[in-house]
Amino acid sequence: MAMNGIKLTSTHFGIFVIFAAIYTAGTLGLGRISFGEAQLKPGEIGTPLVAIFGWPAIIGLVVGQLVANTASPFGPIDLISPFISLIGLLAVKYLSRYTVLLGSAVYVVLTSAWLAYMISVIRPGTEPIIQSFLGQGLAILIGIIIYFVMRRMEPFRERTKGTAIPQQAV
Amino acid sequence: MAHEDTEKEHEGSPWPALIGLSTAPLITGLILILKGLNFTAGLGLVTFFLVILVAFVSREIRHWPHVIAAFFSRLRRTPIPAEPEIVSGVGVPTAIFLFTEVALFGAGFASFFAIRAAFATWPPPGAPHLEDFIPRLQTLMLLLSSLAIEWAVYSVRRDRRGGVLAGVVATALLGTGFLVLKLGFEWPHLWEIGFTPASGVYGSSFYLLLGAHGAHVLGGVVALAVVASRAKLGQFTSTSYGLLESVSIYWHFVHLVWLLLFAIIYEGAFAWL
Repeated sequence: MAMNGIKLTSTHFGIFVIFAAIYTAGTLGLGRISFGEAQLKPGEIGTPLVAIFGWPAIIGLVVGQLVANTASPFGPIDLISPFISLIGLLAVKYLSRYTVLLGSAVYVVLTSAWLAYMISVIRPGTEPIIQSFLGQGLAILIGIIIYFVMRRMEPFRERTKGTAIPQQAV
Repeated sequence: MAHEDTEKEHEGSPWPALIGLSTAPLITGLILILKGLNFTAGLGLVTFFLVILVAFVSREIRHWPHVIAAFFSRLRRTPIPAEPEIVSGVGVPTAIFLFTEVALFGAGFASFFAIRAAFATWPPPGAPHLEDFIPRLQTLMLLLSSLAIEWAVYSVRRDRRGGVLAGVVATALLGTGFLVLKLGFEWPHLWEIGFTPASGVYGSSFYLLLGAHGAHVLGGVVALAVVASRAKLGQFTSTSYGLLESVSIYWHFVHLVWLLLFAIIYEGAFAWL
């Protein structure tokens, strides 16, 4: 089966399932980890890795988020979140040509703004923008560190060609 | 040469589709008989399926000795593996196979939600609280196993035999660990507290869905054992690893189904429905 001339391999399917599992297991299995004001969602840590793994990772994270959000304490409104995240994930993928930091920043702003809005609708009177921003930012920061470690490892060097990585690192 | 011709003959064979379609009359016939609606019509439909099946078997049985011999020969390092195993990626046959699996589990999930909709509260009153510690461990094990099988695929594309064997064996061990946690710890505990398939519709749904998934994991572990024994004999190369690729796709699919089961059965997905 080919899409735009790219043959779908078992690895595409594998990356899709692994990223869906990272989000689902990270969110449902580990829950939220508190760091003072911030509530870290471990499932979000895989987000910057979209810059390495591309479309299969994007689809995996969106599907993982859909699965995890079916059990969300916020109810059915949280099923909209994966589609907001999709826009952020596309930003991570396409802006990684310049730098992964820019796309990740777009993702954090977009998803934390949506999260804050959603919480304020469900629980009127609360203004959770700072907590949402800190929680999302912390998870993405950890993801960015993992991204910089991984792109120097042999199996992932080929995949990061074409992104903003100095040639000597490749 | 004869068996190569046979393999070519199987390309585009109508038999799988014919047998698959003839299961519809079979099921209809069984319903007519078991519900006592029309015994003659039911028997006719069941007979129709059996005729198709007998025609297929009588045609194919002459090839079976070769197929069986080829399978065992591969495990004994005979010249038969000289034919490269096609690496086709996620092609149409794989997609059709995955669709049948989706249909199977889709029917399971649909019946689960249909049953759930009939109850005012879910889980039904009196049902035990399901601890999710073991399922969380199982989720982690399947995540690691998917990474391990991808390592095997990555290694075979670079002709690294050690990596292939290590990846496949690690996947098989993690799959076995998944089953040990389920059958050795979780289910015995649930039986001890009286939660069995006979505990009502909640119990039967729980064991049916998780049992079907467990059977798929067991099938995957058996397939991985075959792949491991062939990897040990060095039968996979960067241009011939079709079996490893197929098993890896199957294993990822089994993992994906588990994520849904974990969310729906243990984490209260769709509780707002």
